[in-house]
Amino acid sequence: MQPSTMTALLQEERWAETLRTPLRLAGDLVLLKLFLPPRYYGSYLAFGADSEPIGVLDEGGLEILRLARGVPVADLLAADAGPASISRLDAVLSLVEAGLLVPGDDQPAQIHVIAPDQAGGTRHRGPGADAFIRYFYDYFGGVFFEGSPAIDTHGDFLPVLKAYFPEQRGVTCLDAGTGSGYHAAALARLGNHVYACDISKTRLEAAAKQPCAPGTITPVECNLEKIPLPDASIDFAMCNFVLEHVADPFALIDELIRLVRPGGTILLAVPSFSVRETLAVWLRGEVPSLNFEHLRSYGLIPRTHPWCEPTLDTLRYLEERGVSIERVQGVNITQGLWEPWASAVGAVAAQLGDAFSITWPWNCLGEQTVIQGRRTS
Amino acid sequence: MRYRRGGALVPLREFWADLTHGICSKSPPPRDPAAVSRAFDAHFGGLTRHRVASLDVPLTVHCESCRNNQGARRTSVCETHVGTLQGILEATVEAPLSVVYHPEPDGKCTLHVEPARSDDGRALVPWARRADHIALEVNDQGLVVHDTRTGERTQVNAAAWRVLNEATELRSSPSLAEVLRIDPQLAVELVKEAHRRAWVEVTFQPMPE
Repeated sequence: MQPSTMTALLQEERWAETLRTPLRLAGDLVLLKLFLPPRYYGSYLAFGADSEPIGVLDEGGLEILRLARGVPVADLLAADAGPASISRLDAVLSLVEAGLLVPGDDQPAQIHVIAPDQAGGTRHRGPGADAFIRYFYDYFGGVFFEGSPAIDTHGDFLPVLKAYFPEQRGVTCLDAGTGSGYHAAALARLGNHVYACDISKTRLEAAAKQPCAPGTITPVECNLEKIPLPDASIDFAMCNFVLEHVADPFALIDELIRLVRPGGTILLAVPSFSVRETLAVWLRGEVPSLNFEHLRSYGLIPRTHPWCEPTLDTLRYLEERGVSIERVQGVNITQGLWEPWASAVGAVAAQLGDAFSITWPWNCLGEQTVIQGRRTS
Repeated sequence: MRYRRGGALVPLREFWADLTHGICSKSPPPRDPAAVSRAFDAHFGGLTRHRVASLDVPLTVHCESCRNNQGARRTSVCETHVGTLQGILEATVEAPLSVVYHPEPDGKCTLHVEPARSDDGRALVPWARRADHIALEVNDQGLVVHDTRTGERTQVNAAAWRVLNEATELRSSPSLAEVLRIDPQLAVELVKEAHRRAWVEVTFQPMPE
């Protein structure tokens, strides 16, 4: 039973040894910052040294962990956050119970934070980013074996993608971040040979089982920033709903450009901030949320959200590296839009007809954005 | 409408239950075992097969052919799976739940689901507070709930209006039942209905002592 006040606690002999005990990190930690209002906005999904997720840490918990370098419990209780309190003691004890803190002097251990809203933009590099990608997608794949219909098909986005599939048959294709191989299989069934790449072995096992005749699927387990295939060996490379997941999307784009032969096609599909979401932030002050498994979302207007990756930056990046942008399509542009905006945008859509979804700026204001480019050099 | 425990670290299962509950509570599956089983399958397509015979709590969920329960079992996968199922169930039955799971040989697992209790073992009841954007009116239409955000006005019966009128601060359903002299179960149902309409904020806490 705990004492009712910190003053009483500090005076009780039975707590004396606990308060003198130095605590340190049990091992390296990888933390993914979450933006899930209301409760998990600014919290962290924590992965322990064994690469398994442990739970979700709040900002106060992170502060305690940062301080725990062989520091006595009593000193952890009286840190900058304010005077010692029972709730702070509860926090320290919960971290010990979870195995994040152990008794002992300081040992080399690091806390790597992957924060989609970091000041330097949404690119993450270095050991923390490498560990995060390995840990997280192994966990994610382990949970959603073969993908759940709600996740892996992206609400059946296949009809949108099929319009971009190569007309020729028997071409060599790449599906970067294949997941369970749902889209790769559709491409293969048209008679193409698809290298299906993913960091998750469990998901690749599912991909390898997808019916794909008369084409083929070759699973390739790899970090998508280092795909083990030769330069200019791919005719058609697609990367669907992956750029929002990887540590450094531009490193992945560099890899796609390296792999696609001159004249070949690069197809990117990403989640993006829709008209509704953009207006909701600006006009209604709505608190946005980022899917916990996403590190960024693509938007027309920079800084719409802290983790907004401007779509135009990606288009510019591709063009500067010899990829001619042939088409940018917005998908589900008017989804969820409320009046009077729905009528106003609807009127524009009616006027433009089929061209609406590929006309700037509407093509960058859908719930999803598809980018088709051709490597020219 | 959950019972939330404190602490610097929210365990993995609790995080998933909370997250899934928040998503599903906007549009929970129908209170039908087959519909709930389908909702489970939508989240975990190939992981396991779920079977729910009844949604009367306490209830049991039977899992078969679980891919995480053949050979080396990863606890993080179990905790995520069970937490997600818990969130869906809590959104469906509109009450906090406690789940204990028992992995068995050959990919089978049984989840026993009961009403949640506080850390010191007390029963949990809904506590409600009228939302800030809700105003109550009496006009020629009768007793009216006015959602000032949308402008929508809804005529309600006397019992519902009285509950909303009393819940200016956080009130437990038993205290509402006592002060309004209505059946305790009716008070719970009125609170739940008001919550579905976003007229009240609800939290589950132990019975008042």
